[in-house]
Amino acid sequence: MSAVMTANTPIDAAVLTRRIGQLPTLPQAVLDVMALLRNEDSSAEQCAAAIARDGGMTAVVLRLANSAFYGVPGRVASVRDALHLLGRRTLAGVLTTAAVCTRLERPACEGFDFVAFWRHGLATAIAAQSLARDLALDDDVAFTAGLLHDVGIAVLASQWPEALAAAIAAANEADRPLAELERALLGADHASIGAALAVHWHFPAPVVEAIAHHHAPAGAPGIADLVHVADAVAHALDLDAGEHERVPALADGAWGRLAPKPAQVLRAFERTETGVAALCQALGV
Amino acid sequence: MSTPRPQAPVTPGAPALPAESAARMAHLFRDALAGNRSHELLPLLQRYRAGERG
Repeated sequence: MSAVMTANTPIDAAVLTRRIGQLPTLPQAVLDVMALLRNEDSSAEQCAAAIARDGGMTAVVLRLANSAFYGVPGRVASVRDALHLLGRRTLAGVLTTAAVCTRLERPACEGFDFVAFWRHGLATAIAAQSLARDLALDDDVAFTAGLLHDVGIAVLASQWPEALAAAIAAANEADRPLAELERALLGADHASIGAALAVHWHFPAPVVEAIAHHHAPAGAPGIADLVHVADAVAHALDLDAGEHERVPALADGAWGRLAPKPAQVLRAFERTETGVAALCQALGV
Repeated sequence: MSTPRPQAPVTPGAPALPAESAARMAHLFRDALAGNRSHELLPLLQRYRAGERG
């Protein structure tokens, strides 16, 4: 049997579970460091030492910490400096970005723009982080969930490239959102596929929930609402000026539950527009 | 003869944007505008594009 599924092969739960289970996990060293950073009982020395044991992690942390995005370019000479200047929560976001970046390879899939995919993920992460800070929500979880909200598209591009290419072409032809055509043609959309990957990668439940429901959040105000609005903010900024770009309509209730003030949204626009360029440069996207 | 490009509705109090910018916004928000619905981000994006900051 071909490893590549055709456009009309449905992705049922069993197929999805098996294929996701075959994907590489995040390195244990990264998971251990993120757990240490999020554990308030661990010391800064323990965290710095755990990061410094991994050369690749150290290099990316220093490159990102010295980027213009974090506002201290050229001043961060060690992991300890990075921890001191950026703080644990920001550093956890930096590490997540680095780990995910190194795990997702550029797939060959017609119609899938890997650079635009990354830029949109980073923009949504920054917008979600900005709104979270202003609305007293968890900005670390918001950043991670924003970064990964569309990761299911990258999974489709690497595991089902023909099927995704057909869905992209059909969405462009009909001028409809991609997720609609994924559901119609594949029987699953990138939100459910991304959530399955986030479980496989041991991300916390709020991140998994936000990825799964970023098109249609419901219930109590939280990270899913935040990522839903941040996704729209990132699309509205039109960073790639693509022919098929669209700002998704907001789900009933999501805006009202968050109730952001105009100044907070204007701030999110600005932070996102300026931040995404700096982060993309630092990550080589 | 070319047809006029669709424009996003002008929010009361929001500064007018150049025609090209307004047309792009209409394209970006076409899902909401096609259903004659409003989109909470549109007036804020118009203010942001006009130079307002938070």
